[in-house]
Amino acid sequence: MNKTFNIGIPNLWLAGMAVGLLGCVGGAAYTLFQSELNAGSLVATLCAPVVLGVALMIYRGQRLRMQYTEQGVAEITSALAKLAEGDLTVVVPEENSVTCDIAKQINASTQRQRELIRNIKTPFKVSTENITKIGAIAEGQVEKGKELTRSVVESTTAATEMVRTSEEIKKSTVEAARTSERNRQRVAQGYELTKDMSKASVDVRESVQETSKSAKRQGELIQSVTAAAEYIQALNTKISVVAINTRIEAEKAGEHGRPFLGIAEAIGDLMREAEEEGRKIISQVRMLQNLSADNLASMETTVGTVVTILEYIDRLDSSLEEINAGSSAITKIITSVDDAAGQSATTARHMNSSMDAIRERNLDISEYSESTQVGVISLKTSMREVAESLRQFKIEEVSEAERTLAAIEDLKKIQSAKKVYREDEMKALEQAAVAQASV
Amino acid sequence: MSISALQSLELIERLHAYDSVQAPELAAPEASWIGTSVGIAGVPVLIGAGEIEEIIETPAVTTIPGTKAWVLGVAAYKGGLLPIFSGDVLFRKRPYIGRMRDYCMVIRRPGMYFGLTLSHVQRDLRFPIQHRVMDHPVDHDFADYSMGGFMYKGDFMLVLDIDKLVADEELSNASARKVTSIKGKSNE
Repeated sequence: MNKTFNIGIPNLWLAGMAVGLLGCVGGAAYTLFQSELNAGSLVATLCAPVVLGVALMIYRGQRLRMQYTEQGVAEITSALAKLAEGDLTVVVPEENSVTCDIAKQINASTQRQRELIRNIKTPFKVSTENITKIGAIAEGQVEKGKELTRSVVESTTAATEMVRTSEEIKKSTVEAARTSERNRQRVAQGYELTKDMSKASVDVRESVQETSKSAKRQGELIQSVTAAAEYIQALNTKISVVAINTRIEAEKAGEHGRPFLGIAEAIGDLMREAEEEGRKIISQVRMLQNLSADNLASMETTVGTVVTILEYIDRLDSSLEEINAGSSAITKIITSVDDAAGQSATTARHMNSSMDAIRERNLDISEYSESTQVGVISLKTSMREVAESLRQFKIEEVSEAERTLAAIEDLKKIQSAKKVYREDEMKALEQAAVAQASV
Repeated sequence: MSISALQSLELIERLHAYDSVQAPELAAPEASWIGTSVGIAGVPVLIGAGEIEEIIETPAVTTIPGTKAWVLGVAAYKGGLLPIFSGDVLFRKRPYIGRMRDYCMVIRRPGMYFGLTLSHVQRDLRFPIQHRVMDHPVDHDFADYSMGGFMYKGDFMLVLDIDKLVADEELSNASARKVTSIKGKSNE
């Protein structure tokens, strides 16, 4: 409104002066045509346009000066408007002599402001990057805390299992020690038994050797009896031959030989019985001889077996001694294993309590990390807002490509902000971890 | 004074005669076959009574070269010479390497006088004649000289016919050489 007003008044004046000049020219011309021409009128008539023209020239000069001034003011105004919009890259032309001082002051002021803003932006950018790093570190801390919580839970479970295993080992070692003691007692009994067996085997060997001697003597007697029986059998055969020959001769003698025939038949009958009994005797004696030989062989085998048994008993004796020594060593090992299991259980309990403390500290650290993350998020938001505000101050000419890259960087920052770990998820994870630890 | 057993028997006989007790009829004497039980080459055989001259212990023999394998040799016997044949080799027709036979039976036939070794000698046996078995299978080597046999204690004992044995051509020629000249047509 004022602009229109400021611009319109000189024009009105100029139009009025033009109208006046035209009126003077018109009045002069009318006077020349309508009245007598005199000097005054003529001078008046001729001087009036000159005066009017001078006035116009003066007015024109004033007008040009005012326009020059207005141009300088307009440039300053335009620059101030841009400054008001935050564009500190604007430079006010200093050619205008009216406004050159103001323009210089403004340019110096903007230059100073640009330097200030540049000085602010550089550490601000560094701060933003550091805050971003802090945010990433906090996020990593949360992840690490989660992993640590999980590891602690697993370690706690393992420690609990270790305690249980150690207690079972202790029970087993107690049972093993008991069993080892029983075995040691049995081995001692076996040792005594082997001594008894050794004595008994020696007695058996001596007895069997005596029996073997008797059996040999028995075999010799049976051999002699067999020889006698065979001799009797041979005699029987000879008697049979004599009987047969007697019968033959009695038959040759005819009636006179009849008594001999009867005798031969009687001898034959006797021989039949004797032969059968002799055959039985020989058969039984041979059977007895075979049995005696078998018994003798069996006794020799028995003696050999007894000797072998004695060797085995010696080996068994040495083996039992070794087993006894081994049982004692096993008992010591079991005792040391029992002690180690007890220490392991104690250590596992301590580790369990330490793990509980670590878990508590880790939960605190997680809470701190979460708080840090929240603070970092709010700080990043504030920094983003400050960055937005600073970005409004245009201190350098920016190309179109640089603007596009800046927009992409902003988008990336927004995306990375979405990766922030949420509180409810963290709590759910921690509760789950606590449940596993209690199991 | 006690009486003897024979006097007792005589007394019992007189008493029964006095009482007119009929004496039990004696059974008709049963026809029996009498033979000597011996063994030849391990086969139990029966030799009929009267076919064996004698049974003797096998004497020491002197081998005769050029004779068949079953001729063990000739032995001095009762002032004469007695050829001794091996029953094992003669019947089995293969060499015998067993124990020396202790006894042999002496066979005397017209023109034949020899001793045949025996694997064993048992005794004289008597069998009812009707118990003779003619169709029992016998050892293959003795089949040609068998005349049936008798069952004795579950075993079959074949009857060796000495006449068939003596009539065998194998026994009639003890020479191991082949006869190349015809009788009566020698070179001389």
